[in-house]
Amino acid sequence: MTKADVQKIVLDIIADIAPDEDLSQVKPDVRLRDQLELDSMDFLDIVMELRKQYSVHVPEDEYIHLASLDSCAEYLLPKLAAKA
Amino acid sequence: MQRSERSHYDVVIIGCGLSGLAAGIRLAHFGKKVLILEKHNAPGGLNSFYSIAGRKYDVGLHAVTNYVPRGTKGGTPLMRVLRQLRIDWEDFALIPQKTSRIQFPGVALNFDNDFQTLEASVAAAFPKSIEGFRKMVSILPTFDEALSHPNRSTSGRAFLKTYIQDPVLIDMLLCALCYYGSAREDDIDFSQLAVLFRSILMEGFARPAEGIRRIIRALLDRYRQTGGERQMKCAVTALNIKAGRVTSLTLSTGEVLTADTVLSSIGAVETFNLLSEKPEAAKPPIPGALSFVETLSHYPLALTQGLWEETIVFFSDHYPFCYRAPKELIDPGSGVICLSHNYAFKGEDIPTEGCLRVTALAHPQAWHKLDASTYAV
Repeated sequence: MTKADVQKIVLDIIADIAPDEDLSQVKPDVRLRDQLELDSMDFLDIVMELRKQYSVHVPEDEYIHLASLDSCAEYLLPKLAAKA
Repeated sequence: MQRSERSHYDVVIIGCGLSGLAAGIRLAHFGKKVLILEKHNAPGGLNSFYSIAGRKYDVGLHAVTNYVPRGTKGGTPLMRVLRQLRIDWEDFALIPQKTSRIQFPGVALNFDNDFQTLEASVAAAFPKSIEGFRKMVSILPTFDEALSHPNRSTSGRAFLKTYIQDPVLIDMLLCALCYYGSAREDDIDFSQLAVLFRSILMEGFARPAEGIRRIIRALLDRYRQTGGERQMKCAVTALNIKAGRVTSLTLSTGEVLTADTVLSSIGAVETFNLLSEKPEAAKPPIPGALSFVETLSHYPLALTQGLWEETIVFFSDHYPFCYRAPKELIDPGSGVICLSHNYAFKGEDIPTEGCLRVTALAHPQAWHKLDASTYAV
């Protein structure tokens, strides 16, 4: 699994949660909230899907690592790799 | 969809109305074992449906408020609800209103799903108050701010008075806002004023051609897909308390279910009455004083073609506007007229006959004293 795979996983989840958002131009190094309309409830849903689909648990005080696609990849790669 | 054999749930929700279903969907999304109990055989609660003599009716739906066009940004309530419940825009099949009106003796305000229509109408009818009206709109709390606002329970009327000079304009705005959501006589909570002003006057009205059935079906489908269970025609007869917590529910079937959490959507009074023992410190909730009756009439569409284009008309045939429980069975002096065929329907959605729905304040005790067979259809 690579960082690109992790970014794809996160983008696929966002596509399910927010089907009305255009995800074709998402910049990996910019905060997701600054380029997409995602509120705190949407981030809860992202965390929930990570748990449901990949059994990855993200504690509340680590949500900050989900800010951008790059930080998601950095943070989630070891967790996802451990499950794979 | 139907209930499994198990009798312990993470969450049991009492009431299969729109709020019970929405809560159920969210909980099921989060992997909770959830059960919705409904004592009636139709879902929908206060927004349910029925049929009489081959015609389909909604219990109370005039219009879905908070309508915004598809793709609207800014996290408006409709878009957030759809997203959080993961329901597609098409699934509600919302058709926008044509135009609506607030009618008082000798003066009318027109509004539609474009706020500029109302603004222009206020400027034309109340030129001295338009600046104050604009100022009021500019400082109106957002939906999220309103619900946690420190002044949320203060007088909405007093808030309007601070900005708007003309007392007739204040009453006209109150007429629309009170009828669509005030439980308070002759006034409205400040938070509710802010929410309804945005929902009705700044966002707007729409309706599925099929009425509420369409929306309930979308919620039921979603609830089923996420793995939620429900049991219809099953009332809760007691909420059993152990050590200050509701730990189990007794059902009309005689069965007892346990649950980690119980959510009730049936109202404070009704929920309180189910408690097996009343908490010492708790005062019984007081039911609201206001109630309504509705009259529905059908007529051939051709009769009114070109006469009435409005979707909703809030009216009062007297000033000052009076919003309190009447002494008689009904107060016909003010209310809401809904012409549910006057949405921008196209093609096969265009209804074949008109329906006029009039909502007015009623005196509930007076109705309860009547023998239902004397007025039943």
